[in-house]
Amino acid sequence: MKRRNAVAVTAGVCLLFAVFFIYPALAVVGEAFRDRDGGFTFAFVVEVFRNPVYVEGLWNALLLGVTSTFVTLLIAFPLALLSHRYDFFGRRILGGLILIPLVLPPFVGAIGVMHILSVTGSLNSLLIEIGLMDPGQRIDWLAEGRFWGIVVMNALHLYPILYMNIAASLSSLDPAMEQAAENLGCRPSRRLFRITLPLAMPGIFAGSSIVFIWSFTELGVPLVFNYSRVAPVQVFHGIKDLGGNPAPYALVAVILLISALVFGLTKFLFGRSTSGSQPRPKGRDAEKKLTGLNSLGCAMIFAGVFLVASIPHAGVVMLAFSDNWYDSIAPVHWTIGHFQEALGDPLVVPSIENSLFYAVVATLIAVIVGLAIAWVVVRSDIKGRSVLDALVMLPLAVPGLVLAFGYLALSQEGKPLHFMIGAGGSPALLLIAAYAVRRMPYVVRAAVAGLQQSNPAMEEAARSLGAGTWRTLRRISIPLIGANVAAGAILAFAFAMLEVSDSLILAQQAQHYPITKAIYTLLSTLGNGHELAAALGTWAMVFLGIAIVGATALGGKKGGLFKL
Amino acid sequence: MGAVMDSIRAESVVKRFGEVTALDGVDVEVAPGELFFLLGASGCGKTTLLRCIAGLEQPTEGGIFFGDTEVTGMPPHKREAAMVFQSYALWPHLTVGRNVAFGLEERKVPKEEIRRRVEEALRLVHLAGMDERGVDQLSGGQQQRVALARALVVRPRCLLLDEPLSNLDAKLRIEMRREIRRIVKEGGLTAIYVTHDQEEALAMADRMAVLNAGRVEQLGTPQEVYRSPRTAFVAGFIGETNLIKGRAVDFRAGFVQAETRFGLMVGRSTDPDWSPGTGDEVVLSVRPEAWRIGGVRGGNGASGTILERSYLGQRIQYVLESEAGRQHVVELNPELVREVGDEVGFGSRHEDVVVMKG
Repeated sequence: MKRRNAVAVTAGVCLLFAVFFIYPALAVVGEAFRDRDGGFTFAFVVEVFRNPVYVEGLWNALLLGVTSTFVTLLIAFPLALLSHRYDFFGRRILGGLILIPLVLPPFVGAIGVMHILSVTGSLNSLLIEIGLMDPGQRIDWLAEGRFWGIVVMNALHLYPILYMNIAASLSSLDPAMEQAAENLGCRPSRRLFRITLPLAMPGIFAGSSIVFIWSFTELGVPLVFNYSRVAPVQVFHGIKDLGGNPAPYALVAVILLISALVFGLTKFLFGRSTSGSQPRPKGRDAEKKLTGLNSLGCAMIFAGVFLVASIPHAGVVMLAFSDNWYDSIAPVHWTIGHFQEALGDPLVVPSIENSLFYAVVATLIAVIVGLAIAWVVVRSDIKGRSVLDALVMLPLAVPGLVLAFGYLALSQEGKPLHFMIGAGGSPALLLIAAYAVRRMPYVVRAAVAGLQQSNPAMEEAARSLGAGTWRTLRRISIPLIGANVAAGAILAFAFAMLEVSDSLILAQQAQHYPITKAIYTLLSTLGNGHELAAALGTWAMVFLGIAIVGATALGGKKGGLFKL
Repeated sequence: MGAVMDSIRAESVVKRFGEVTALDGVDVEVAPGELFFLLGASGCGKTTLLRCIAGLEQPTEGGIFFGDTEVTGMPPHKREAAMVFQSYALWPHLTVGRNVAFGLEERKVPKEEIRRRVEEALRLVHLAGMDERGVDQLSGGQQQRVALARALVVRPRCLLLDEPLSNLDAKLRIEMRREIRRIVKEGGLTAIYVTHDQEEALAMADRMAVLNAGRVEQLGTPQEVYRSPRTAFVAGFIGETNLIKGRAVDFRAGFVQAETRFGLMVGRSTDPDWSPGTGDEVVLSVRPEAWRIGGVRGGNGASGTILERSYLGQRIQYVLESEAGRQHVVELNPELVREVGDEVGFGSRHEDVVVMKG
């Protein structure tokens, strides 16, 4: 690649990120530190820490983040280790199956769980049925265990991300590293702590930091569970009186600070470690073939995790097909009426159209820009390329909530990004920009992985045989990395379709709602709102499931897609 | 090192990976203190055999013995067979010193003794004072030596080396050959060394086994294997050779007379269990340096035309076109450079020709 082009791409991307990412994020921070006369002040942030309600919210969010991360790790690490060490019955299929819970935004799953855990829900009905509970003394599971409900929802939704990160970092280890330890007299159980764990640390921490930031700033699940004493929800409710109250800004600034701190610390501690992952040697895989009960046991663990993780999904689907599900383990009467009714609802069809439009355009932008970035990062030698690489990964560290808030603030009447608001207050451009920026890391990582695997000599060979730049790109480079890029694009598209925090905050008028906001709005409608929301959620689930299976089949093997 | 070394024995080892048979009944015995080579092309099963000995693979059939003890079912961490991996497998999260100390820590050796033995092992591989370095800061040759020190420091019952030099450049490789042989011999170690590089095997081995398609083709000292290959595969794999087909005419006192395209030729039989009858198909192997241009009095004779010539300083390589096809001929310390197209006579001594079952 010509140097001039590389510099141009770098400059362009930096400008794009400066306007649509750094500026909004900084604007939030700036707003938090500016008093009414435009001077600098710590007063608002101090006020946040003085106000017991906000302190409790932050503390709860932090607690949610840490606990969710630990629970997620407890699920993901053993799974990753098992599938790394052993070959067991149905491993390939089960390995794919356990990724499926990712297809549903957890707040939709929360609707299903609510119907299972409510006073008149499945669990109580089941307990009464088998005689373990007195019908007169039902337990309100969600009132007692709201916090843990959110933790479990987060963990069940996020463990695939961590699983894939750990699996990727385990599979890039030289199997001889572990064999050498064993060869020198180290028992397999000790080997785990002395060799495997330290070497897998970068993957564990990279995945954990994503999971932490995600669950620390999770908005949807607490909203659905009515858990309002948590910072993201407080911010969401604070939008209503944004004009007079600077507290939400200060709160968001603190959230951003904590997220950035965690992400930065992870990068600092583990970012530079090569940890025996290069060069990938030709050593054989060390996996052991299990037989009989051991093999079955492993398979059962995987199947068990999948089954438990699909309970929310099952709840949503049952709810969508149920005709008045109340006080029974499963719905007594089934109907497809909600799906038909949903199609007639003024919110549903436009929201699908809107989401499709936003997500398609955002994905296109992410793919084109992402490819260019990957090219510069892998194939050029300009100085700024590592900065560029770090820059495009930053959206993973900045919660969607923060970015959405920044966009909201900057697109107010008279603010610099007000031009992004379309006719009739359409948030299309804002949402597209938010989706594209936030999903860019997936595309870039996928494309970088593809480019790194394809030897530049292949392109040079084409050039030496007389192909021009464009023909080389079209005939050699794109076919070589096409699968990777397609996988990254599908993932970006799927996540854009079901994005929560930007969508909830930025879409203000019903006719511009994306799917997630439509679901959220349906939830608060009286009558059969929950059933309609579940029906829409079921559509989304099927759709996302197909997309993720496609992405995995195309190039997501070994979890490279989610690797940081 | 002073440890009591064991002999290593593999008895009729069979290893199958699904449909593929990697080892097809291998018998090998390595004497205590011997530097033994497993030599073969990639996919011949040599690394699989080494991994069976280390315990990293389970043989499908057969047994592995260290001395009189059967170790076939024993897990690798109890075997005391230290291995040097092709990729070195140094742990990047530990320093050079901690890498080397690992095996001793696992054996619960007292701290003071660990320190002393690590120092001693690093000195042995000429890396004294490097124990605080990170393994990423070392060159390929140094990493290789750390891997060696890590294996040696535990005073293993045997040392297993899996193509330890294949990632080094040519010059370093030759230097390390001498190093490894010195270390193995000074420590009186029993060592098994896997390689596909026949030159490495010839230069270093006490004895070697040539493997082909999961079987041992030949076992012997480098001289025996080079001078007296038992099969056409071994003759072709170890060094270069000219193979000539023929039919046995006479067999007497270990020498076979055979009818070939060059007329009657005489050569040594290398397989004591084989006595060819008249008319049996045979293959004759003549090394390029065994052919002498100008002929040998009382030996085998032939003639041909020079087709190609490469001048390599201390020797000249010719390719000759003859009645029995192309012949490679090497002349050492040549006095006369012949031209392409020249008609020449050439020949070989009877004892330099090997006759094998066809």
